[in-house]
Amino acid sequence: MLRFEREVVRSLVTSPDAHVRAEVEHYVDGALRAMPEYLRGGLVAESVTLGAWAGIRGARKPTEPEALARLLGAWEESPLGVLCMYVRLFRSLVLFAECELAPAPAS
Amino acid sequence: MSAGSNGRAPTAVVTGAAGWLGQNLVRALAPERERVRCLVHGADDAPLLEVVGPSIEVVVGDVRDPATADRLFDGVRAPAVFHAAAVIHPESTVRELFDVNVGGTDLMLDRARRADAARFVHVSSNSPFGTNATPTDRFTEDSPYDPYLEYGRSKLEAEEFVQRAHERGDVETVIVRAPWFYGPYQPARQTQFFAAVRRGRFPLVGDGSQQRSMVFTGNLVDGLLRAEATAAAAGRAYWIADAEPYELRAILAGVRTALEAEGLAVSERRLRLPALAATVAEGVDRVLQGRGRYVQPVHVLGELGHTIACDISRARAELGYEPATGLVEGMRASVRWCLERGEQL
Amino acid sequence: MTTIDTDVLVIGSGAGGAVTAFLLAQGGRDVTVVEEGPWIDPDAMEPFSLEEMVAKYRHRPAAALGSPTIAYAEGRCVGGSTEINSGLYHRLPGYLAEAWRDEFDIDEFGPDALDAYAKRIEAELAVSRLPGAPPPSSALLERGATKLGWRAVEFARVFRYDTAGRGVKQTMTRTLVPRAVDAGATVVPNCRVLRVLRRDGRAIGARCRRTEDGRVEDLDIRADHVFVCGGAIQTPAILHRSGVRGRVGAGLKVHPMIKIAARFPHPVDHGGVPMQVITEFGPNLSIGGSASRRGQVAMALAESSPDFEEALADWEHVSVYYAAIRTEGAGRVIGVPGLRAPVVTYRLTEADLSRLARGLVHLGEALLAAGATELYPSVRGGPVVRRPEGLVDWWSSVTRSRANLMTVHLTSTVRMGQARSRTGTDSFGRVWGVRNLRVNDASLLPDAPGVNPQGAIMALAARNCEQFLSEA
Repeated sequence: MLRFEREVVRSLVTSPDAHVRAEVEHYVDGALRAMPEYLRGGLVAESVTLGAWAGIRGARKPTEPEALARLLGAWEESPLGVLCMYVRLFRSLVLFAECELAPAPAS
Repeated sequence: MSAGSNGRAPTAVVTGAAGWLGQNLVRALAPERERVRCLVHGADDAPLLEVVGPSIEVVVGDVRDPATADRLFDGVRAPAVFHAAAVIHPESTVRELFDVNVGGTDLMLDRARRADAARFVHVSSNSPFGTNATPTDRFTEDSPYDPYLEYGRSKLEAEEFVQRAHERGDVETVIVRAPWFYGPYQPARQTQFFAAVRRGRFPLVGDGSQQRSMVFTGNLVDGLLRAEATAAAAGRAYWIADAEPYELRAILAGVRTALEAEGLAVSERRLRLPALAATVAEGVDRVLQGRGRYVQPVHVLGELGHTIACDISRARAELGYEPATGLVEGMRASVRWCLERGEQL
Repeated sequence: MTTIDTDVLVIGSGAGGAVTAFLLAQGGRDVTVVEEGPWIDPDAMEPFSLEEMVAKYRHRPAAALGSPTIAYAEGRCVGGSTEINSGLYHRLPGYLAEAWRDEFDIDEFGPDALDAYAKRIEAELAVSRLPGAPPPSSALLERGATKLGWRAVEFARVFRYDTAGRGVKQTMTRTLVPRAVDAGATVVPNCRVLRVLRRDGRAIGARCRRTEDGRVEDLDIRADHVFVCGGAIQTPAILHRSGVRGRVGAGLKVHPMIKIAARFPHPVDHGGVPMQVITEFGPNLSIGGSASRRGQVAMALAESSPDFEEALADWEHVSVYYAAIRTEGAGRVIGVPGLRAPVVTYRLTEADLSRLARGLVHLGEALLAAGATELYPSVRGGPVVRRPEGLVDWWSSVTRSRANLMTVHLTSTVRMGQARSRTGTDSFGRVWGVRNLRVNDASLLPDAPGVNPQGAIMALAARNCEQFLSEA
């Protein structure tokens, strides 16, 4: 998993539990490894580009995690399919993993 | 003919009521039926129909919309449904053709079934059958499907839905296949066609001997009403057109004759295009539609090189259909209609 | 290098491969099955869970490139996709068998041709309907359909019921794989075929790479006959890297699904997949239910609206449903040298997109009629619909850039039939141009059948096995 991809996953995970967070990251890492090469290759190119862009925008400072969260939120609303689908892919993987790995909140 | 006799339902539901065919059909139905429920797409269209008579009830909405369909059939029992709503020339993409022609037909059949419709008369086209192989070949009701591009495919799928609804016992159906219309309540594109012929700007493609069936709106309405009323027509399909197809050059000559007879000067100029121009246009049309795009002039030019002609023997034999109006008389009626409305020809 | 000698090499142990191994072993042949994935105890994991995806899925997920992309999943384990699917069962519709026979010139084929084989499969897998009432997630579909006057049926499933009425899915690892082993077949899991070996125009075996306890070992399997049963994606990929091109890989057909996460005023069940299917709009459009664990519900809700947390907190009231279509368009599988996974593409026509939109609207009607209060479509930006008046907006929502589609059925990449310009094998799965090489899986079906294809695949594989046993 690329560094930026890890940052994205950490930004999207909602659980405060450190064990759950680690498990989710591990799951997404595995999913990316299991992707067909041609899809993974495309995703790597996007991650490198978007990671650089996010850095320029100052959204990758570890002291300001909300900045990345805001940027990812903006990308998810973007009419540009590439941006929206990038976030949606990670959101989808993280959501699924969190639901499976963290017990459901008592209702 | 009083309402309810001879197999004519007291209530009629008409989709596409504000369209070219619809306006003619509704005016034929209004005096004879207790209620004529009309579906129009835009609110601006409602007054066009409300003026026709007290039996008219207008519903404004989208033929693909389940909620509109519910309103259209609300409180209606055992109606005769005349489904004329369709898209022939979409704005720019072919997607609309399928949404409306297939999706709308699917929805109307479903609601017709739920309303225990007496009969569903479906307005179809020559397009599912393509073009005739030779100028003397004629489409009959047994001709195989050979859809002409995406409109043809969409109307083909709509026919399949209609036939299946009948075969499954959902609703009794009749399919009426109509070729190129002419007659009152014509849309802008037909008025532009008259104007272009008047100015000598409408092209004659090739030598103009290619045959085109046409149908005067009055003849088509008569055919639709017979399709509704004839018991033995259930589950069947009929070509409804003028008595014989016309050569394209005869159509253009007929328009010129009608314009002059109604007092309009007609240009001496004649524009001719080689048959190749239509062939090229058709090729371009194919590519564009393959990419989901629709460009109306390209499509129209592409079709002009072909013979598209049908045989009305079955309608004559089984429905007692006889086309009452011929080309020049019908074109004159169209021109008069335009002039009465102040249309610029 | 280890070499294994065998009569028949079967590549893949899914619906097609397991039938092939079982029938040929029963027929007295010495059969070796190689399976790329592991052999996993079918009771070890909950269906549709994260554990199951990690262990049994080839990709999580993969997607066919196109506008829009279509996500898909393949099982990569002993038993193949039968270990991860819903288990719904349907015979190949007779009208399709007839149409395919005529269009692709398939010998000894037609509406009744597979009946005897289907019966045998149904007995082996205990194909049956629910002994009791359907669970709420399924009953809701029936309720909506009944209210609208739409035809709906309960599909049979490959489930065996115990005396308490509990159902167990009869996957290949529970049924034909162990029965094949009992009949003398050898199964080699964790063993990937690198390429089929050929000499003088015939298949002579395969070069494989086995991974066991972290150790990687190449091995050669020498066989008189080779059956490729890797599924509609892996089979053409294997053939491509074995130098067999021809009509291999083109013509991929899938059942794209568009989904709705529907919220109800009452709780619904989440353990299985509904068995009711609305068939009113068949054969090109069908409506049914999907796996609805909390994870699947979450993913489905997130797709239509960024404000889904409130609905997710209420997830026990939410169930996921789909509309699936047969398509005019088709796709390709292209093996690329040096890449482990083939490139997969799929093209949808405007007519296909319209059909998907129509399916979504009909699905919405059915769910509202069943009492749903909120509908979250798998369309970017929704909108979320709460009343029938809102459904019409979905016609313009379903576009290439906004629709989120997936498929679980993949077929038709190595079609069968005598019409050689359009098929990759003859009427019985013999690959054109290479002797002793056959395909016996979903790749053979000339089109997607509009119903769950497992039944068709298995009956077809059985028919082809009988032909093989009668000739060799």
